[in-house]
Amino acid sequence: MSHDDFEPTIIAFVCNWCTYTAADLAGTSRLIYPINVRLIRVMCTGMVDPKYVIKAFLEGADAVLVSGCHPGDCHYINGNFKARRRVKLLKEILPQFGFEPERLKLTWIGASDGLEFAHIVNELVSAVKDLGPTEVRKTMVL
Amino acid sequence: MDMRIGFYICHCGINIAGRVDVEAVAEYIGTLPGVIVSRDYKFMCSDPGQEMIVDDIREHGLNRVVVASCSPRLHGKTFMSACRRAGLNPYYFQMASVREQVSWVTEDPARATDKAKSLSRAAVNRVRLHESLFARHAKVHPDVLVVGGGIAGIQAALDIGSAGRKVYLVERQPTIGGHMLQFDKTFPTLDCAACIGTPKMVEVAQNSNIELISYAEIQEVSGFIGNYTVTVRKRPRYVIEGVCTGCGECANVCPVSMPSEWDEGLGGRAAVYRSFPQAVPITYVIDKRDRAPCTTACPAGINVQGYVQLIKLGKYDEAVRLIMERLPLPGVLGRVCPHFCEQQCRRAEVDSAVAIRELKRFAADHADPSRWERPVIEEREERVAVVGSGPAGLSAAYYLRLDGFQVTLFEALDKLGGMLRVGIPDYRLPPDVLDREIDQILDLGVEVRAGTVLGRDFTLDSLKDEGFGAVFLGIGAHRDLSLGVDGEGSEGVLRAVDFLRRVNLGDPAALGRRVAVVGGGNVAVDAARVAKRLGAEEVEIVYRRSEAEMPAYPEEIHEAKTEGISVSCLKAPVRVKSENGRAVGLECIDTRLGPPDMSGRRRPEPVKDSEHLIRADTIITAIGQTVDNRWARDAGGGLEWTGRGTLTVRPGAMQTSVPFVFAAGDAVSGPASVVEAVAAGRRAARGIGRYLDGEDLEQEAVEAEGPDPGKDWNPVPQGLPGEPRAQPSLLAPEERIKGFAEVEEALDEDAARAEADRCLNCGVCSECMQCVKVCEANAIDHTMQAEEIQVQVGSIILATGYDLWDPTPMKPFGYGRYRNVFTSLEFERMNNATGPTGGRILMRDENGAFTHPPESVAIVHCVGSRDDRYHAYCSRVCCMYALKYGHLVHDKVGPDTAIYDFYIDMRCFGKGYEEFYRRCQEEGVQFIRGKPAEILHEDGKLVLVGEDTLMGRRYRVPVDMVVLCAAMQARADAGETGRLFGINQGRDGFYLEEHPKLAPLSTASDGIYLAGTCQAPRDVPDTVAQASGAAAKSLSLASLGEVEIEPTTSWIDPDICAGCQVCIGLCPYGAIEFDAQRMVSVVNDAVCKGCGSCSGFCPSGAARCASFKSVQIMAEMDGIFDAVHEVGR
Amino acid sequence: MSQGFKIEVKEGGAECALRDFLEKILNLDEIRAVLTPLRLPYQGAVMPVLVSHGDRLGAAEPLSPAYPLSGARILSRLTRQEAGGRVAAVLRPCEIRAFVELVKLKQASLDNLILIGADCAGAFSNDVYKRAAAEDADGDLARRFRQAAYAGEELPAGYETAPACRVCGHITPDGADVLIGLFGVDADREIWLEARTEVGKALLEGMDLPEGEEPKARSGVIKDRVGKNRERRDEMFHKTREATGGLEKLASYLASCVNCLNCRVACPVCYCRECVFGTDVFEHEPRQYMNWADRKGAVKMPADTVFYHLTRMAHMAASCVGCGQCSNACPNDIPVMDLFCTVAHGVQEGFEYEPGRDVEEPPPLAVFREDEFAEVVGR
Repeated sequence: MSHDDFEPTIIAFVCNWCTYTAADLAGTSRLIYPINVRLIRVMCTGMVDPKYVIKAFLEGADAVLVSGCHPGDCHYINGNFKARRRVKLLKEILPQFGFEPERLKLTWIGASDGLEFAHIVNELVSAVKDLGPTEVRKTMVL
Repeated sequence: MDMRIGFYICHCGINIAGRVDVEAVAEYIGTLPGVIVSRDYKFMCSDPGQEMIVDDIREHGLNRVVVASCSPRLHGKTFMSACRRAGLNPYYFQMASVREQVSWVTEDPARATDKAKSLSRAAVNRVRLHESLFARHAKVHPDVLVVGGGIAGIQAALDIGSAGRKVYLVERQPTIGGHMLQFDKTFPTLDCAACIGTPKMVEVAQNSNIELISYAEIQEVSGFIGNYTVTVRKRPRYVIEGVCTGCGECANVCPVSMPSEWDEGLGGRAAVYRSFPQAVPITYVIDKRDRAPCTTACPAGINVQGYVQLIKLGKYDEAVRLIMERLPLPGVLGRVCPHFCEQQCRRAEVDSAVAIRELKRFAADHADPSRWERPVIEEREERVAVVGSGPAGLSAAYYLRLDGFQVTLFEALDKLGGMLRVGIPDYRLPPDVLDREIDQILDLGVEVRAGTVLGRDFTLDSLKDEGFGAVFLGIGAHRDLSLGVDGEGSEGVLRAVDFLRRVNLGDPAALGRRVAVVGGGNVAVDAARVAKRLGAEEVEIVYRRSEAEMPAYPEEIHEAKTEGISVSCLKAPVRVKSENGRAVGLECIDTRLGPPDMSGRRRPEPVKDSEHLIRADTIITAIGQTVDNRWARDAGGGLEWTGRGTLTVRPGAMQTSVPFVFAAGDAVSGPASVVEAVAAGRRAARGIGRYLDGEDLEQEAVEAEGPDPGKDWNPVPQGLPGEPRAQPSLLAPEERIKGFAEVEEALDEDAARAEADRCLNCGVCSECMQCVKVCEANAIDHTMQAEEIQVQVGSIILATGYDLWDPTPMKPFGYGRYRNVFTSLEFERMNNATGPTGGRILMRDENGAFTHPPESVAIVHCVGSRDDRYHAYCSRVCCMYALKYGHLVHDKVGPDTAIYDFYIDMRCFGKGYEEFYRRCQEEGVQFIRGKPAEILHEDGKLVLVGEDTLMGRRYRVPVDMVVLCAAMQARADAGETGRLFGINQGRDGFYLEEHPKLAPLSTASDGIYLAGTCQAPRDVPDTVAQASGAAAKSLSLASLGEVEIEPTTSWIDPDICAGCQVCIGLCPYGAIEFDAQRMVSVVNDAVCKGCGSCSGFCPSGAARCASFKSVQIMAEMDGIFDAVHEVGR
Repeated sequence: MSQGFKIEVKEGGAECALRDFLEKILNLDEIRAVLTPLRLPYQGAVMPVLVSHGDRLGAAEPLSPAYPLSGARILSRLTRQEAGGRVAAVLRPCEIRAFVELVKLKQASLDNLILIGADCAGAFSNDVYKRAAAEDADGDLARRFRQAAYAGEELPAGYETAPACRVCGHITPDGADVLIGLFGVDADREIWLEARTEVGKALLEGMDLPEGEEPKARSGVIKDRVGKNRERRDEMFHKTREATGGLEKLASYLASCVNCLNCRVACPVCYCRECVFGTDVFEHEPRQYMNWADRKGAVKMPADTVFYHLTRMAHMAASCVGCGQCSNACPNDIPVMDLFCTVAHGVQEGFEYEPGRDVEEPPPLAVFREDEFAEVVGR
């Protein structure tokens, strides 16, 4: 399909305290951003098991966003640092199999950063649109 | 059990239904397997909405419920309790956020509907796998902590205290009250802040349930709702609470003056102070920083800042007493001290160092110790022999005597004073000064044996036999080093120390017409200047390095030159030329400087074939001295000597290798300064004391090292006008050389006190101890230490307040440059009866002194607020207090004072506010809509330039005084403080509430509440209301007695866990332990907070986080993709 | 710390000499048993055997080309709890490295254990070994293999060592207490021993062995062999990346996978008691299969094949020691070792982590620092 009518699906694992709150704020502030993102609320990015990300990709996510609190702000002290190592691990593995590094994004978005949240989504969507759809959609069986 | 799911989508009026086709969503979800009912409704959160769920659960036997509406963070709890009411475990519920995440952020209705479908289906798919969970209950500690003692903290504490609950009120400042108590009047009712504020403060002090911890800060917070442990660090007040009566005598005698924080720097305060008369607690506080650098630089550790301050006050006796705690010879050192203190003086950063030595001399000359009552001495029978009456010996004798020992002073010469007497010429140190101070020491009751020589008349052993328990050796270094060149033995070649001694003892050697002095130290310069005074026509100092390398003090060299003494550098003597045994000249060779030697100075190297003759009939060699230890062999006792021929001692105690013998001064250090000798003498005295008490002297050595003194000093004030350093007048050179009159004259009293006033008080408190003297309650304790207190509380109220924005960055308004541009808070202090002007509105002259009232005043709104460069938000209170200012000026300065009020919009929304606006308009305040672009300074007036946006024309308004309504902003350290309590800041820097409307008092951390301006700018009424609200929250928690704790904790399946224990290392709360029996890790769910660090790692999936299990999250994903496939993305 | 000794080899050759050596160790008071590859009386199978009576060591084959499974897992069972006696275990270098990883993961312990490792010339894959053993009339396979393999001769076609061994970069037992040096010596005349730890030193000193220098040629031989293996390894990486560079390709690479999980059972560092893919987490509801089928048009059964392999990579890549047992275990001969090693290489470089290098070095996902991997955030 051509990139214009390509609507990516993006799965975002966001922590309850910072990024999910920021998303709520983006909503209450009526910040229009692309529909493509689907939030999955977790208590902390520290509970995001690498297999969730793998699953998301294999089910056909065109990109996966993991987003938590800024360093030092983690509601659970240091969950975001653990998440960073796990994302690092995935970034070492997935590109080998055709999932471009740009498709997996880790960010820190503070509870008051509604703007930042909308901005990141915009950025990610356009980046993924440039990349085109994930190969998963073409792959018949997995 | 088959699934019976109920799905409900909320219209939220048109908030959701306006974008999302809610019927379509309900219809779509209705088609999913297991969905029994699928409805849409206007307001699911309303009672009928909730009842609908309850009824369906009962009627249709629903065992799962999904609501698609707003954010679960908003109404998740609402619907869960609806489920509970219907007898369904609340965790069989899941929520989809189709408002915040769909309708509010999506324009295209069709797509919004699709997204809503996918999120709803995800929730439905997830809820199938939910499990029933049961909340745990934890006891709530009944006590409450309130952080911040402003009006918010006070109100909260009072509400809780009067409800009969224990409350800790922690305030960082020395007093509670906060900004409100700095104000004068409060709008709109104009009652005075103190009148309504101080009674509340007093109530705090009197309420037995309130424990006020002032001058303290929060160090650490741990625990969870109902069970917090907080560590508070109480800074030392140095004044004992409860003992201090608040009489204020201490402040009256305190020599230090600092800008007063409470008066926003407009007024001053002493180092010991109380913010304002009605402060609570009334206890004074001493502002003590690290020791001033002058004091730490002084070898004797004299409290320099202290005596300089006392001189400032004209308390010369006290000054000298303070000096003599460390130094018994103030008059001597006031003349000959190399003043290491002045090298470190921070006044030099402004202009030049304070003339400390001159001040010491001035004090010594003006004090009259004869009037002092003799110090009380507790006599002891031990006898101590002090051998040598130089600075070291005198100081040792003095302090030993004060400690009660029976001291005998042995001196080889007939006169006392050692080098002070026979080394330093009279024009630098007049004999009467030395005599006076020696007599003071002897008056304490010191036996003197002059003219007795160690080794000749007595030995160490003989002293022991005579019954001396200890011996102090201060025998100095009186032996000249020899030049070591041919002809040194010729007649007319003298040795400096020897030469000076004879002069000082009144029997000078005969000099020729031309004198050459060899050497570059102080002794050389002294010898040269003395020679000049003895009538030598030409005196020349010959030195082998360049002048920069000369060890003599520069000022000495300078004075020598002015007295006509020539200094020839880079010349090294080769031999003394003599004719028939009489010296006729000094043969020298030119030198150039090579690489540095051991001493770090550049080594002189001879220049070939540059030999030449310096004619001189007298040659004085002054190339250094060494200890005269020829007596040692006869003195007995096996003393150890260093390679440099000085005595070996144990540092600190100054004990020699012979236990009962101590030593100090040049004999130990080699030739050094007087002050170093005095310091060492005192150390030795203390060492001897401990030795005779049989104490351990190692300790002494350790203390000698001492900890590194900090550098937390009073900052050097900006824009301080430079003032020249006082220069003592000197005797004219032609007068000087006629005799031995003292060259340097003392400062006169005005000059001295002015000079003392140049001191910057680096340590703030100067430890002059005047306060201790006058405090009848004995409430002052300069040794007080900081203490840490731990409190257990169930909940915490943060009322940390705000900072006023500093308008300096707004250059065009000239704040900081123009004397009469004030911030609102400064203006409040000026209006306050306890403020710097006693409540009068006055202008400042160029030096910042308050003079006369203004004839016209401009008040500028929104300074730093509603300004994207600084703060986008409105500070909310400025309009009203601006009106208040207008009223106050009219009231205090007079009705015909011109008042201009420059605003953008008037915001007078509160009760009685609009009326107050009307009233001020009627009082004749001129309102101009349009913030000035800049403020100019034109012939004595401040001219505001800008555009009147109502009239649409530019204005130029000249006034006498401008008040800037500066923004309220979050505390500078709000970030760090927030982290301590696990709460976040909003974009604006203020603390983030749990919900802007429905939970403005709560935070992301359960059991931690917000009150007052730490959450957002607000006025006093709102602050007090919010404080009471926060108090109510804490109280309801306390009276509940226990809290439900989310059962969403982790659990490790023992059948799957492999016991790798990685989760134990990852858990931030230490909630996981290893069960060695079963070889598995186990979660302690009382400690677990459910962050999922363990489940995020556990490869086997043994660690699971309740309600966030892998199956549930993956099911949610599947739901999304199933829907996306069917309805599109 | 290292100290050299040697074993003089008499008639009977290196095999006999090493058996005697092991027997001597077993006879030491402080040693309760020896774990060593030992030839079973059946079908020439060689398996790790725990021996506590010296006479049974007659069949020990510490240098056998057989490598039926990883001794690391066997030894972890033996050491995880107090076994009541000290064990000396003969392991291959890759087994030792895997064992060290298991110690980090609390699956095994170094207490009461002496690790004996020999320079490794590689081993046969299981099928090759079965064939060779069947043809081995005189039961002299081990000696012939040793003589050829350590001399660095080309092994006869069809009898090459396993793919993992041919790309192995760790052919010496670095983590062992006692090293048996076979590279660069004529093992039929003498064998070099090195005590690499205090424990090893104490052991060898207690056996009054003659002192011995490291054979001059040894380091050179190791360098050459590792060099060759590295070349083959990089070639393997290249080929594997080609073959799996993309999801479609990966799917076809794994096409014949039947989700038997054998690779993870055989893997020495897959330490889970039960693989998550064997737990209820992956017992999907029947309707979910239907949904997948609807969504994708068709769903391969068993499902989750690629999911399983990618997830397993995430779990074991950091600790993979490249022993090759996964390929050995694959019923459908998928070259999984090539795939896992290739991915593991990247991961281990990314975390600057080398499995088995140091027992004090924590596995990458067991720790974290505040200031690290800034490049991962925001991209």
